[in-house]
Amino acid sequence: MLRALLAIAVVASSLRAQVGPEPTLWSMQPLPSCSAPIESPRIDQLVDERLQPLGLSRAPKADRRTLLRRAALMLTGLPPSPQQVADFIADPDADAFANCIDRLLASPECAEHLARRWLDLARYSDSNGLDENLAFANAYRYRDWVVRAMQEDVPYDRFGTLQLAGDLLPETDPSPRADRIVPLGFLALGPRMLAEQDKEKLVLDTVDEQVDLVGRTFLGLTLGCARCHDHKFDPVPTRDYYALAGIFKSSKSFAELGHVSQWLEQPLASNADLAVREAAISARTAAANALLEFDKGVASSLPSGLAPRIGDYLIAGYAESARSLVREAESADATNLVRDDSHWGAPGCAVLHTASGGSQFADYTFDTSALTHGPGDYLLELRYAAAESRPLRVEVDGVAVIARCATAMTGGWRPEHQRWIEAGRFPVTTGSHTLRLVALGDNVPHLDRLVLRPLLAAAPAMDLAAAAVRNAAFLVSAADGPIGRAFAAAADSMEVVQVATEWQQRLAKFAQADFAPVGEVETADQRLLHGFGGLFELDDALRYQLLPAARRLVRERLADALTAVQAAVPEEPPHGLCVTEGEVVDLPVHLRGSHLTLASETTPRGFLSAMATQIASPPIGSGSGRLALAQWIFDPKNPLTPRVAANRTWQFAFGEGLARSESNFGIRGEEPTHPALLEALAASLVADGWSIRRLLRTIVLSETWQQAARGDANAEIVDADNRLYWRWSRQRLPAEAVRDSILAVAGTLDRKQGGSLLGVGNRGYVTNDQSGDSARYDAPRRSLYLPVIRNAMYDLFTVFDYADPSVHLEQRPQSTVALQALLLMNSPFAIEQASALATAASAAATEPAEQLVWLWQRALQRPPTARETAAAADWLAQDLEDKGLACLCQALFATNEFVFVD
Amino acid sequence: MHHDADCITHNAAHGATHSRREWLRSAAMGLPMLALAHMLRATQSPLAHETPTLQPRRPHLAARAKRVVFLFMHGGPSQVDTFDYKPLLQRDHGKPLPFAKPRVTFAETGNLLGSPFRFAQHGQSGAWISELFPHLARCADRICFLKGLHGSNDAHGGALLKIHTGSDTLVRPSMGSWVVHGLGTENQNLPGFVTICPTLGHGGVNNWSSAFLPALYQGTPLGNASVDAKEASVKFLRRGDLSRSVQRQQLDLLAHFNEEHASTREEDPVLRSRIASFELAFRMQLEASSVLDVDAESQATKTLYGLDEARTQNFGRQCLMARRMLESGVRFVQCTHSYKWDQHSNLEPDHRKNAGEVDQPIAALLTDLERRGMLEDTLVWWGGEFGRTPTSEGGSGRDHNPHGFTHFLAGGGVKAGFSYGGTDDYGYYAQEDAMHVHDLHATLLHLLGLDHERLVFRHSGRDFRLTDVHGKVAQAILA
Repeated sequence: MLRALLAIAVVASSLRAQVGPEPTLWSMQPLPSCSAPIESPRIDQLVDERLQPLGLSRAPKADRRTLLRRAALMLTGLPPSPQQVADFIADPDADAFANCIDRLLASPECAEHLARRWLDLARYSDSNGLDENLAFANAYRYRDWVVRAMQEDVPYDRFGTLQLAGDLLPETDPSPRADRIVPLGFLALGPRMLAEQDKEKLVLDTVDEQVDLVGRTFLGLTLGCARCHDHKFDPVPTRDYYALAGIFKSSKSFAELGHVSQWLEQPLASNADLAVREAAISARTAAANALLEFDKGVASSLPSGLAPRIGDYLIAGYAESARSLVREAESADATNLVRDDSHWGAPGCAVLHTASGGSQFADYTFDTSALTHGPGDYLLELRYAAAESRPLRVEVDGVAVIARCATAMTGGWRPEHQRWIEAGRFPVTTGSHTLRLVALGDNVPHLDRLVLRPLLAAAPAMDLAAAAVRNAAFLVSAADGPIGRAFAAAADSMEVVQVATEWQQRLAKFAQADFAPVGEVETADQRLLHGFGGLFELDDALRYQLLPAARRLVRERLADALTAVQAAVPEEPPHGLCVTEGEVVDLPVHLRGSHLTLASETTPRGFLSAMATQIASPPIGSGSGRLALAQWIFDPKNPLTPRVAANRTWQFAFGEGLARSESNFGIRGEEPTHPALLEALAASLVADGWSIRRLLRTIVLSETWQQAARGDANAEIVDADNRLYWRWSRQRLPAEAVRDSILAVAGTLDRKQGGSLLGVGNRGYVTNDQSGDSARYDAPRRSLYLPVIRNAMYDLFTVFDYADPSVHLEQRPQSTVALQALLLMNSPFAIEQASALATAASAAATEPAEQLVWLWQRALQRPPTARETAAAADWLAQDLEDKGLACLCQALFATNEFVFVD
Repeated sequence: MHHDADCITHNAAHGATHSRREWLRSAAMGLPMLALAHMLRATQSPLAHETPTLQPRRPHLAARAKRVVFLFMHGGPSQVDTFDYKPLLQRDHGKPLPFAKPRVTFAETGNLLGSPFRFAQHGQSGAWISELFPHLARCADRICFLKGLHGSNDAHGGALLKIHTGSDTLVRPSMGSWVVHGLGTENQNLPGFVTICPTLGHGGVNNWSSAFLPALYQGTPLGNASVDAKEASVKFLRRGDLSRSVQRQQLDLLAHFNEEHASTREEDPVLRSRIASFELAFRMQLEASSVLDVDAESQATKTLYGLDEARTQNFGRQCLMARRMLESGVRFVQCTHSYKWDQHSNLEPDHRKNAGEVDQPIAALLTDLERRGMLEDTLVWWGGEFGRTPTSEGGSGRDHNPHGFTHFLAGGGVKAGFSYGGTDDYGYYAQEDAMHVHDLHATLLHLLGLDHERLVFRHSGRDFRLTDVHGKVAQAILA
């Protein structure tokens, strides 16, 4: 007992954080020199040096099945196959385990699993989150780059430099430009308050987020604390914070600081390719401008002699309006659409568009007794604007008469994009009817007008006269327009002719051969002829038809020229989120962190003053200083960077770091349990060319890593948390590995690498107030590739402790909550995968006993015990309507053995 | 912004980890051992590696309220059209604001816009309430108005995060999560913090997330703003294609496998607690289903909440679900009237419509809680993310205004029939007894018996609080 008491006291005192004033932080102490990389036995020796004084010793080696399962799950996030386990158990080679580890470390699955850990640190997400949750549709390129870097074991100093200053590396750098821009996503992917109206605050909050992220990720320092006051615990005065903040303030993270600001993205192509594209775009612009210039003159090319025909068209329109149903869309008798005449419409040209929710419709009632044509065959024409296809169904009295129409797009949503289309033909019987337009999808095109006109003999080709008559029909029936009012007041046909004549005289001066083109219409009367809905407002196609042959030829040549240069423009290169050099500034200290209270003097950009004697500051140069910052961080004399990286590598292997506050190596963090070991690993990392993979291999091949997860009553008393590594600490799989293991065992996992599953356009809203979440999670790809949506995470991720991708995440919690159980019991995912596994088991074996063996091998890489077999057989003996085997598979997915790594 | 909490007190509410608890029990030790155990614990980060629990915990102070219901009016209801009556605003309609507008505004506004709604005094307390809330007007003497509130963000996203988490720039735990962290919850078969039909925009899940607090304290959403309250439920609560008895047997089979697994290993509380979590989930399926079954209420109650009327049925159902959960021991419930109150234009018809949807349900909730004897220890909290400008936006609307707005509280230890704080003569800036959102949070925690300076959590090497380094309890409103 006494020995145990003493042992506790020793552990306690060695673990107590240093709270008093200390000249230098432990993590800032220089590293010992190191000439050769550390070897696994040295790790065991340093672990034993802590255990032995306490009378403790390491556990024996785990059995081979447990070891391979541990290695596969810890290094790749996927279980081994039964065959791999069998081969390893039977392998007589002395290097059998090392060979397995080498195979695993070289696998793409390991790169993916390592990348996922890094993405936690980089607060990787596919959306901005915070206030304006817009899609980072190009973020996946950063994720895929991290996977590739892990696969290639890019040295950690270069890996980090690319993410801080890839854009500033010389043009002679071996990586193509794209691979020097995409890594900057690290700095760019933070959540930004895009709708913050105090733009100076937005920029400084962004700088702060970047300083804090870099501090935590690479240096293990919570630098953000020094924004408002000297760091209370660590040797980081506020001046140091603003020296670093100046570097990021001198970089640019936003393309535009508007009402909703835009984050910066850049094209991922070489400068030469970009120049080629720019030249091609200039050529296209020139060709397009030439065509535009020509078209401006087209309106004045209408045939001469139209003036005397204005009256005729109006009278014909009057007749048309009497035999046809002529309606402005917004005059619907019943609708759940909304009217708009300012945004999607224009004054005097209102449209109907989708409001919110429910099936979209608009009703127009009419009676054949009011139509001079009476019952018979009719043709429905619609005028609308639509930038995407939004088909409609047409019903008369609840019966579909046109199953699908209005599929065509018109090039935009605004009045100038409105076009007439023929919706379809159908018979109309005598009496009163309701014509209903119904959206087939969730939305309608922006509806302007409709005409239901008798289908006479053969429909005339749409020429100038026909178009003018149709326009006239609306002008004469517009109750709120001057022509409509005049016609409405006409008592008989004599007066109609008189009104038509008066209007002809009034408008004639605007119908001369050289009247003003559409774009320059000025007066209300001019608009009646050439404005939206005016008498001579014609579709482009019709206007060009009316050109004299010679001019039409010119236009065709211009159009062909545009098509040709258009085709020559290289496709827009992909973009990456990044930062770039901005206006270079030194910042004054912001008192209490506020940009409204500034110190009088600026602080030159620079690095941490506490380490000035250890590391020579690289020159900042004329730019932002990001490259110098990277050089300073990865200076071989900087002891923080390799300590933090080596500790994270240990954490990847064991689940916890040697210092358990993995991103806080300050005084308020936890000191390492094995300072000498951490120092040795850190020094070795630098000496071995910053290879994370080789360091990981050395750690995993130690006996310390290969211990069994066995208990020890004495050790439990002294060190219940196993901080001294007297056994293997059981780990629960992270969210991604839970899901991926289920898919792998069910045989449904798609191992394709890379690419985006986001399904939302760049800068589109991924979630908003009323809509649900539009991201899809049903692809059977590795979880790494599923969308990571801030503010609306995939529920499986959330429930299994991957809840918040907005912040740098140094360690995933391992909670046990009932919602995890509910998900495994009731979610469609668990039920479907269990069913897939049951189907696979039935195909693999016919006898129930063989199926059980197959299942246990597949899920747990061991045969079932006698008691498990008996329980499973009892279960299967019940009458469960074919669900028996699937429910058994589901139970296997839910077992502790499946989700814990021994 | 980052601040180090001035106070570095460890949270006594949390016990040791499971493994340490096991050890304490098995070693059956005397006092010296306990002291050493304490010493060992004190040397380690107090909470990050400990096993969190939902067990009820004693508050720091004498609690006046045991539970909270937050009726959140998303979009920003206008204070000068609801509860903050301004005669000068009516008199000077159309004239310029006689003092400066804030340095940063969300949109441009013009001259003063008088309220289109009639105000009258109600109850013994004589509270000014506009015609928008006839039902609430009859509850005037139960209400404590906070008319001098102010925040720091004039965009919806930032302001929502501020109201819910105390921070508008960084992801921080939601107030509901802090409360469950401090107090645990009364019913172990239900989550401690539930949010009904929350919005997915403007911060979305961050408004009910536990951030760095244990996931156990995370708000459990029932549906979201795009779902009718009728459809709102706990995700994956039930499995339709398996009978309860078959699922019970399936869990027995699972338990059998888990026992077999545990029998070949040393006792491990983590394995134990995971086995228990499936049993809890099974119980929760039953309990949550019955709590959410609003149809079990009497017709009279349903009518009281407005469930018979199209206009009030949705929010009425939310309020009734909230009461049933509070009654069943859920610690913190939020109802959301989603993104309706943002009247940049059409103030008159739209505020009328919005108020019409919530007025009767809220009055019903107050009445119902009172007649069940629950109002005295239930804190009812009403409000939006900010208020609106007394100046006109585009003639018929008002812009966002975080500089002065009104919330109200009822029940749970606040003065009834009371009004605290105020704005200037036109209702733009909080002036008298101004209360920042941090002060509101500190006061709410105080009513629950939690000292906002002692309710801390150690994360990444420093202690965090809901109120950061701010917060002052408004003593004047305590009953």
